[in-house]
Amino acid sequence: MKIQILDLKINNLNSVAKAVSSFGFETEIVQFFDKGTKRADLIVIPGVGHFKKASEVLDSCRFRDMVSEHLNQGMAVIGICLGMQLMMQGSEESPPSSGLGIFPGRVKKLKASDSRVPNVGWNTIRFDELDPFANLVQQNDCFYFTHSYYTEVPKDFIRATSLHGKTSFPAIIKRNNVVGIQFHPEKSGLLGRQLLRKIIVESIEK
Amino acid sequence: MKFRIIPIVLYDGTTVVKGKNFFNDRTIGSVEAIANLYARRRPDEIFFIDISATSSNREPNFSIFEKFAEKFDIPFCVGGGINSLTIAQRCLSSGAEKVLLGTAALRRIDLVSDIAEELGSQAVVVSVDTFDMEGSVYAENGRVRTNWNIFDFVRTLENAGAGEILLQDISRDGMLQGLNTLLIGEVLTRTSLPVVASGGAGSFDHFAEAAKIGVSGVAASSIFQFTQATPAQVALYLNLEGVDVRLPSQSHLINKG
Repeated sequence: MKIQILDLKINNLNSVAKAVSSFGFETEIVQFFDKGTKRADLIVIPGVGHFKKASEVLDSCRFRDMVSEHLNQGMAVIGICLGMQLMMQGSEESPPSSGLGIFPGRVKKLKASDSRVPNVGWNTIRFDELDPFANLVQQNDCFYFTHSYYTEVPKDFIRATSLHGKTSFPAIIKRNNVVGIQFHPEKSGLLGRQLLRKIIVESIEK
Repeated sequence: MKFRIIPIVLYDGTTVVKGKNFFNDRTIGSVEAIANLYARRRPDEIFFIDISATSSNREPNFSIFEKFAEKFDIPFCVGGGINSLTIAQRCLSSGAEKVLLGTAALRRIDLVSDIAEELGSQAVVVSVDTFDMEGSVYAENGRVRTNWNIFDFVRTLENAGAGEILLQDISRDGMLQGLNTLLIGEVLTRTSLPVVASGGAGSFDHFAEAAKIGVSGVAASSIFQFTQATPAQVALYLNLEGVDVRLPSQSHLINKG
């Protein structure tokens, strides 16, 4: 199993890389996509940062081509935090910038009338009751969130939700073998690491 | 969102220290020993502040951040000597989740927007240091009083794109006598940013009092360095008090591997 992590230049991919390689997978950090870039079973798009800058890097490093060729081969992609948001069509954070458009819908700003923004800290998530992971994650299990924006996707793509105040937003989204995770599983202690490992294994096996 | 219990690790360029009212620092131990301690004690986050970087005009110690990233599988925030976007970027690529700005933000508010526009608001925490209800914001570790009014400064920070406020009452720092809930309450009503309060946490009840007025977290040093209290114990106590906190997990994710 080989996993490629995209270097979006603005974010910390070390913690994602460290987590992924601790699971025993061969891990490669990709700086730029060209003819010499080998194929992998899974691409991980990590991320903290601004949507605009990241969108520019997707262009300048030819990551858009890389992801679409990879998806055409039926391979898996996982996006974390900003990496998840980049999978949408666009974002309120930078309306002119385009996302990868893997999921229909846009990224929207959390509302200060619901709770404090950014949404920072540990919170629980709730899987759809039919989801294979629904019984794995317990009611009290917490994961670390830090974001001001959320993905507005059609319900069918939502695997798990979390709360900002009393308002629900997608915590994990899925389309075929593409998964987006709003929180940081790599920074969510042992629980987060285990969940990330399970999501990776699941998406590669399909 | 769960209330956060956040140990602060103060670094003077050589060792971890802790004083009173931002003065008279006592040596606590090596960075490595303290990091090992907290890695076992289940905090929700760590704030690492290099208190001599700005005054001695040196860069942050990035190699320490890299060691922290090795040790912790939870987020940590780093502060001290972060006076440019480039340095902030290096902090994040060394494994920090966010940067804490102090004097640099007071000198140049644009730095907050510059970092927020590149790294996102969630990566920018600003320290707002004051003495009790005096009203002014202090720079350079509480040594220099600025012309900023605390509430104006908080509003300005929010507009500039800051993602979190670390509100420190220097008059209570290291005293273990309780947090300034009056000040915290006043700041909370004036901003929609998450606020982490610091200065004075000396008992489990002090955490509870602050949590109940709506602060997002309490950061503390002395209670975790000079008493037997651990972040995990604080969490268990707060849970009994009805505060929404992160508790030790009984998850099948771990039990069933």
